[in-house]
Amino acid sequence: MKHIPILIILIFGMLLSGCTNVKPWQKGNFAKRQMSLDLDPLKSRFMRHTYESKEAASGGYGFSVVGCGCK
Amino acid sequence: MFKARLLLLLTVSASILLFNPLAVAINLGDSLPQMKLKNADGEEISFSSLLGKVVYIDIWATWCPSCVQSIPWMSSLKSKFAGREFEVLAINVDDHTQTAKEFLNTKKTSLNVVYDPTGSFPDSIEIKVMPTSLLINKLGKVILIHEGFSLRDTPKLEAEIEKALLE
Repeated sequence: MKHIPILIILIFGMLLSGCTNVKPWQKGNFAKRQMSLDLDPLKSRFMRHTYESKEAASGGYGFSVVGCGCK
Repeated sequence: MFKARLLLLLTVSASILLFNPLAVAINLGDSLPQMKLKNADGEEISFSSLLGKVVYIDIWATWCPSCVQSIPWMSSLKSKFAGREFEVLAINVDDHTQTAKEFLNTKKTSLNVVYDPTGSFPDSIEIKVMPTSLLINKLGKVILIHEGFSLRDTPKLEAEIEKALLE
């Protein structure tokens, strides 16, 4: 029972040490096609166009944050 | 008991710091960290050996489209400033050096490329984006930090190189 605070500190310490940002030069894997949320952008665009025509509404497609983030 | 807890806390803090080492971003006027990187032939190239020359350093990778776009332009710089105290050093940060070598073979470029698969150089200067290029003057000081690449930026970059060469 006495060791619980120490255990909590230890666990948080271990978890925090895992909190690290992916550095810009480490984003090679994000640039891979299989990391893309949308594997067929052309098809998705076509589907969106159809949807917009049918529903007379657009937007709300979510967001995509994949890619290498290169400028 | 208190001492033991304090010791434990210090150990945990030290481990956090070790896993997340503090790096300092490079600024204008700073010198480059002393480092040696290997080229395709395995020869070590140190930054100190480039003193006395204006050096355009580019950090690039094959998976970065803007970096790939900058390669023909960097190759053209070599001929544009040929015979002058100017050098282009392209630092590749691909995890697998072989990927970059194969890529460069297809491009048939004579670019001066060194390999840093662990990213020790970009880590030491804390770059924010890929690609990042630095212009180093003859005294070894950073005079320009350029983030990203676009062909629209090239006239400005070439003017900066020319200015540095005339200094």
